[in-house]
Amino acid sequence: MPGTRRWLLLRAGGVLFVLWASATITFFALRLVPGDPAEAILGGPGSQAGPEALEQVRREYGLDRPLAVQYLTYLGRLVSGDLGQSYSLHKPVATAIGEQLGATLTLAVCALALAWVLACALAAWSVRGGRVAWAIGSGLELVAAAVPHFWLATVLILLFSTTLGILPPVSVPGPLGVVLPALTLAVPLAGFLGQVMRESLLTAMESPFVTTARARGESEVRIFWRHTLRHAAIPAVGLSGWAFGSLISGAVVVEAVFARQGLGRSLLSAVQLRDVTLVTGIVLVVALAYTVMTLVTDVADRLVDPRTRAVAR
Amino acid sequence: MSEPVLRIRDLAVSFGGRRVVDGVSLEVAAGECVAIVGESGSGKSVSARSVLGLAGEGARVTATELTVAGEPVLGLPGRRLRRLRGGTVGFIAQDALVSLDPLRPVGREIGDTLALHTDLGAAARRERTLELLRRVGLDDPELRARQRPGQLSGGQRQRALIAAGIAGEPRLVIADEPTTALDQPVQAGVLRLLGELRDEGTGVLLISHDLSVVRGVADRVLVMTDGVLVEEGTPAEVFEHPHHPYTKALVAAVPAGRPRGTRLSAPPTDSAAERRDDRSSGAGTPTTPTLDDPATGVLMEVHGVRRVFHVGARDIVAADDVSFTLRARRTLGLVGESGSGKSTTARILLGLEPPDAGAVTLLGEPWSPLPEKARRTRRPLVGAVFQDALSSFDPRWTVGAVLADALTRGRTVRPGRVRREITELLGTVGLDPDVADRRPLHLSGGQRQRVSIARALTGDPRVLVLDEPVSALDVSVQAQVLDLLDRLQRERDLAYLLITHDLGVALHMSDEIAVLQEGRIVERGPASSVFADPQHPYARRLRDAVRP
Repeated sequence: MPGTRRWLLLRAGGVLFVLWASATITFFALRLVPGDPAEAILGGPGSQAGPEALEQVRREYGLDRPLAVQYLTYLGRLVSGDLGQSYSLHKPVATAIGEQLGATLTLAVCALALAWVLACALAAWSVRGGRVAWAIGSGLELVAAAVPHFWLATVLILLFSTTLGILPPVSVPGPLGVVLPALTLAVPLAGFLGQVMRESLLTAMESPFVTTARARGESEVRIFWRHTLRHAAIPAVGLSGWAFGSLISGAVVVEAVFARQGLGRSLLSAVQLRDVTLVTGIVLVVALAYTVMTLVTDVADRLVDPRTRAVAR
Repeated sequence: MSEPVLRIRDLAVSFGGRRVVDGVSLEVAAGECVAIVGESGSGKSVSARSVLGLAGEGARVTATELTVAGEPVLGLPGRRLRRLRGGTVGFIAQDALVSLDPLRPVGREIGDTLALHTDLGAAARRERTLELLRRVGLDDPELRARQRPGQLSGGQRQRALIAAGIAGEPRLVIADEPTTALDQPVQAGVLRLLGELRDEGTGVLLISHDLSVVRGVADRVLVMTDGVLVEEGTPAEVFEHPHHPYTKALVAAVPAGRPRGTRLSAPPTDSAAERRDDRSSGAGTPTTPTLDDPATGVLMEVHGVRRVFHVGARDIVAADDVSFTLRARRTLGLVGESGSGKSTTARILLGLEPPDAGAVTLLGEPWSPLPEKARRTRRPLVGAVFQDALSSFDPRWTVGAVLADALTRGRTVRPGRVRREITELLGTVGLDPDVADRRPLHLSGGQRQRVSIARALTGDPRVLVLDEPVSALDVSVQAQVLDLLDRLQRERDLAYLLITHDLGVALHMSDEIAVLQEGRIVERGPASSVFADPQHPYARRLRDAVRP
């Protein structure tokens, strides 16, 4: 389909634009922060660095050159994948992020998948189970959506680790370690998704095409899988792009609570240590994840709802 | 005669103690088409759906006998019931746009029926799907099978819905308002298709609110009102010699072939306004002045109006050299299929759309094109009534607020300030004053349309643009609204532009008729003669579509 390829190219161009914009904003925003960047590199105002040391750092990092030149050099480095050197970790930012990214992505993807399963199950059950199930379902969703991550994490640790002893309280390597952190992130998200899905599921189930399907002899199970679920998924798919971004920011808390390595924890320590380069690098990577995920949900939306293909050229 | 494909004896359906169907008995033989006619809420649809066990949630269905091809339906276990649905009994609903899953290609829906009720393999199912699409008269079945309902025209998707309904080679087809919301030529095509199915030996149970729809295709007609069958006979018997008062009202409500000025609805006894109307017109006596009456004043003139829309690289000509004149106490009927440019013409007349060329004058003065500012003070002179009254109201406003807003031209929505005017307006359109406190959603279709007529009358207009004003209404309600419009026209010397796809309505209401095709007026003349000898092939096609 030539239309689809054109659309995909346009969207990919959009992703590049967003990345360029966030890189540019980060670059200039950091130059607006009061204080001498060279001093910050040497450990902040408290470091008592001598003038020679400052001069050397300036030359080393190109801070003595005009801003435009610095900006272009910075962009050029970004394109080649060079995010600079982390002061606190004493290694390239790209390497530092690369070590952490996998853990966070695993966590986010697991949480998103888990949230979808929970939301679908809850919505399907509460829609078909009559008035009581409807009330319970909507109540559960409200509570789930309102629960803060740190509290939920604590409760889950108390329940599954301390009382039942079936899952480790801190994150250990391997699949078992990801269960509790993912669940912590998934439950509030499932609350949101479930609320959206239940409304559209109900609308779909009252549509005349469901009567047509029944009159054709379809069983309720097949009607759910073939017709109504797809209608219910449309708004939830759209929400997932946003949800993924919120999962990565949620990871900051969850990774800290479960002492799990990942981008969130790195970001937390980078901010505490004023490691500007590392913060910039993580912000850019999160922006990349955000935009790519939005692109993925747009593609998914076109697959689920073919009607959007006719409009979104 | 062999076993009938459907036999119902003493069917009763109730929802929570409220009985909606009572003592219905009927039979449909193979190769026979039986029609149930009645207005919305009469229980006809529920009766038909009971045959499939789909009467609705919370329905209590009882019958001394309810058998399809000899097999009792009531109490059938789920699996057997599902074999019956789509297999022995095919179901065709109204409005395929929502009755087919809008997200899936129509070929898949047909394929699903085949998968459920035949043991064909995937390739054979594909082949059979194309065959079925061809069978229901769709061109290019390979393409159609891949298209979704939204990509097909109204007639095409209704045919696709029929294809899905007959894919399981059912012995009985239940068609529930299969032609509602379709243009007449398309409607005629769908009915012919049902007739063919009948001729091939399928039993057809046809449900409709419109007697004229079933006339050509049904072998027997059952008339239903308030959950009870009140009359039964061949279409000729029911049409020519109706016995029950309800049937008589239903037959009288059909506008086709009734002269201008004839009452369609039974004269009401409670409304003073309607009684006045009866005295002035004399029921059944046409009183309209003829076309060549010179005493009528010209209110609006349309000169060579043209409007082209640019959609992508394509140009769509919605109006091309359209000219006509609207006179006081006269109705111009504008007919044509959907997409022929009727609504664009209406919008230009209302000053909502500027013409690319040509001009419209109102009372001899320029009206369009003209800057909106110059037009605004005269806007009350031109009123409008649209098809979907519900969506033309703010759903959060009461009827009183809607009318107060119109009466004060947007200065207030507090009905208290103009209570007296509102009561008067509602009386004019035959509604009780307490309707003012209700919301449009809680009114019936006929009441809503009366409210929108009341709103159109607020500025004391000289011209009313009526864009499909009765298309969404049952025939009996349609008759009342048409009678109301007719009375208002005579009382207030109004000029009407009546836009409709229903030739029967156009012929009944209009003095002059113009036929629009692709933005051009291809035929025009006095209503009495324009379809007597149509010159243009398109006009001939329209005429043939309404001939019984």
